[in-house]
Formats: sequence, C-alpha cells, structure tokens
Amino acid sequence: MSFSVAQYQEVITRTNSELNELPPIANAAIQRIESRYSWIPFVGGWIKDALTKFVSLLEDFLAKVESYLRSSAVPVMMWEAGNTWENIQRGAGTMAGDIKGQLQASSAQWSGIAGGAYQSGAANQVGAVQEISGLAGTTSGSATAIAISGLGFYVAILAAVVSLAFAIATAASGVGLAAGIVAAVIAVGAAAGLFYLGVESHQRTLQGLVAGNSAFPGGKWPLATTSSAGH
Amino acid sequence: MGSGDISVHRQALLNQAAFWDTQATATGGYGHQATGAMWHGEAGIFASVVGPYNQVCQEVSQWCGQGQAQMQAIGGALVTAARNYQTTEDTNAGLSSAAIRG
Repeated sequence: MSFSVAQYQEVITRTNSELNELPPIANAAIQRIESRYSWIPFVGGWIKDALTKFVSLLEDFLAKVESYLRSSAVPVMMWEAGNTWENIQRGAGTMAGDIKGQLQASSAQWSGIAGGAYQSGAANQVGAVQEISGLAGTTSGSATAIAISGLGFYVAILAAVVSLAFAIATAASGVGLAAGIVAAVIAVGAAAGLFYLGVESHQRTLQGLVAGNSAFPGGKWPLATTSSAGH
Repeated sequence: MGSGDISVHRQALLNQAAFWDTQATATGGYGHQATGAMWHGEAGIFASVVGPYNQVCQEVSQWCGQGQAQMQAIGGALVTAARNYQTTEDTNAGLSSAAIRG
C-alpha cells in the first residue's frame, strides 16, 4: 500500500461523515425494534435492556473512534516529513562528498604542518555529515512507513464504521444490533493491534538512531581542530 | 617559497573559508528543517512512534546547530590563516625593500 494525501483525507472525511450518521441510524433502529417487540410481556423488558446495553456499547465505540480520529493528522505529517528527511539525506550526502573533495584538493594546494593540521582536523566533519545523511535516510523510511501504516489503520476503522452502519440499518432485532456493535468493536481492536505491530519496528529504529551514536561522541558534533591552521 | 606562492595559498585559504561558510549555512538549514518536521499536535495512537521521532528531530537539529558552529569556526580559522599569510607577506616585502635600500 502506498500513500496519497488526497486518498487519505477522503478516508478521514468519509469516516467522520459515517460516524455522524450512526446516531440517527441507531435511533431509528431502536425505535423500530422497540415498537416491534415492546408490547410482548416479559420479552419487551428484555429487549429494552438489550437496547440499553447496545446504546452504551455504541457510545463507547463512537468515543473510541473519535479519539483515534483526533490524531488523524499524524500520517499526513509523517508523509510530508518523509519527503523532508529524504531531501536532508540527499543534501547531506552531497555535502559529505563535497567536503571530502575539498579536503583532497586542499592537500595539493596547502602542505606542511598547518595544511596537515587543517586536513586532519576538518576530516571528522565528513563522518558527521555522512551520519546526518544516513540518519535522515532512515528517518525518512520510518516516517513514510508510519504514514502508510496510519492509512491502513484508518481504512480499517472506516470499514468497521461502514459495516456497523449497515448492521444497524438492517437489524431486525436486539440480537442483530448486538452482533453488529460487537463485530465493530472487535474490528477496531484488531485494526489497532495490527497498527501497533506494524509500527513497532519503526519505534525501535527511531530510538536506536539517537541512542549513543558513535559519530557524535558524548552526544555532540565532533570538534574540528583547525585552530592550529592559523599559527 | 616566494611571495607569489604565498599569495596563491592565501587565495586558496579564502576560497576554502567561503566553502566552509556555505556548508555551515546548509548544515544549519538541515537543523531548521529537522525542527520544522517535529510534530506538536495530538499524537493519540501514534504516541509510541511520535515520541522517538520527535527525539530524532530534536537531536539532529542540535547536532546540525553544533555542526554549523564548527564549520563556521573552520571558515574563521582559515580566514585567520589567510590574514597571517598576508601579514607575513607584508613583513617580508618590507624587509626586502629595507635590504635593497640598505
């Protein structure tokens, strides 16, 4: 699955729209089922209890999905960040090559103690810039993959909401409503589980990028020792 | 080494200083881009990845800021070296003139 901002925004817009339609569909179903069964002695009370339970489950479901939708801007941000990091990767990669070339050229122009100090002192900048390029490439890959996982997650949420709306609209009894909401809750839980599984490796990758990176001893950019060049 | 050689070296040093200034600006730019790529909104279900991701942005931004300073320092050191060569050249030229007059 690849990522398209337009396609993703369509998924989110449609999910919001379907969510807004669920309460009136549910109210209509409740009225329909109540009017059909409430007159039956004993069964009427049982149906009322089942409908109350259904309303409670539906409210929980709506709250859960709405909470997921509050972070729905993250995949678009991750997708755009993936492009930004890719640009940094390319730019820093070119820069590392340019610095290396410049240092090699300078060795032909400027020899002796000062020239040697300059070349050895500035050489560690190449490694640091190369590392920024590598970090940026890895971050770009992770950000892009997270965006795609996010799209998959919200597509699954939309499918669960649409299925629930259909189940409610066609339910002929409290059992049908209960089955619909239980299936939707399970589907959303499964989508969240799959999402977490999908992004877990990227979480570890991102954590590993900054923890004790040897290109930045002590967590700092390596110092150039060119002060001797002027002496 | 004649004064002509020193002049060539001085210009090479100034060229290299300009090169490092350019790299410093670009490195600082990467740092700004890393800061700009951070997420400050609600992370929700993405919290487990947004936290480490923002940490990467922050670290890279700091490193690039330090890298910019280092590269500016290299450029500054090269300008200082060029000035020192200039001073040496001027001094040598003065000594030569005095020797000729003497």
